[in-house]
Amino acid sequence: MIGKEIIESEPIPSSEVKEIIEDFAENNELNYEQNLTVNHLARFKRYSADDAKEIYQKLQDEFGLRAKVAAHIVDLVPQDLADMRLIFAKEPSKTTKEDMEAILEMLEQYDFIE
Amino acid sequence: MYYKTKIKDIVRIPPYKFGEPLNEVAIQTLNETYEGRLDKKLGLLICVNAIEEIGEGKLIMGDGASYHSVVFEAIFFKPEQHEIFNGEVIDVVDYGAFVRIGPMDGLIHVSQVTDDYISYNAKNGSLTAKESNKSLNESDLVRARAVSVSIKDESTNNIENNRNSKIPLTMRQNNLGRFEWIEEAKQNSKKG
Repeated sequence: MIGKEIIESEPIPSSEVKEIIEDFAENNELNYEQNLTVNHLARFKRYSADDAKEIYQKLQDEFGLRAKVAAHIVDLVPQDLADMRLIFAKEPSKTTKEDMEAILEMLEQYDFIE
Repeated sequence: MYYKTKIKDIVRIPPYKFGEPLNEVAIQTLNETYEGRLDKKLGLLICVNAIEEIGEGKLIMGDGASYHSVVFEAIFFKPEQHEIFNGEVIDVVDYGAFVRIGPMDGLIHVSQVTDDYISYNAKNGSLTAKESNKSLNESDLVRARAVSVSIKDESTNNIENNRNSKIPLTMRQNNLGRFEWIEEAKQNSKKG
């Protein structure tokens, strides 16, 4: 058990994690896990931390997605319907093709980092 | 998936750190205490990055340190069942491939690499498919789904214990596998 009581816990996009660890690195030396995380996140395509936060909020407010699914979408940077279906495949609620297309359209406004 | 979690705790500030800024010392102390800790519910602690609230110090008989109640914010990595990961193959062995999916590693068993028959090539340490020309080597980038997740309470600092947490992955579904395979499959389906 870590701590006495867990007050709240919410998913966050991995780009934000990268930013937090990089800020943390300015004053502290990174340990093994922190180094692994930053290096791993830098290898894959992703949105910038600010964009990631914005998309994450939009997915929840405008599309009514759960925080978990929203974070999942931001992390994986889906490019087409096939990628979207992969994310929604194990979701209990059905998402229509139109909804997925609307999300993809929204995502297209943002540039990702390779 | 990564989580930002707020936790209430008590932090012990040793007397030789009394002169330094309290918040920084608290962050440092908490990081030292919980470094590499794996919690069943929360996942793997990556870092304690902020102090939300810190109370007045209390002294306890027989100890020169002060104890503060604290609410801190920490980042956790918690793999979940059915979650999709982008990962890097870090090791290929005869029974499968180890994939780094963040601060933790998962295993893709040979039977879960592709639908094809897979054999291990010991010479160059790769997994090769029999009918298609697919192969999996070290440092390949892949996309895989966690089939199940088993996390035990422990510290990753202890190598002996670290092997108890297992994340089996699969790539035998549409749009999973090496990024090149996914791209190829998409091109083929476009052609019809």
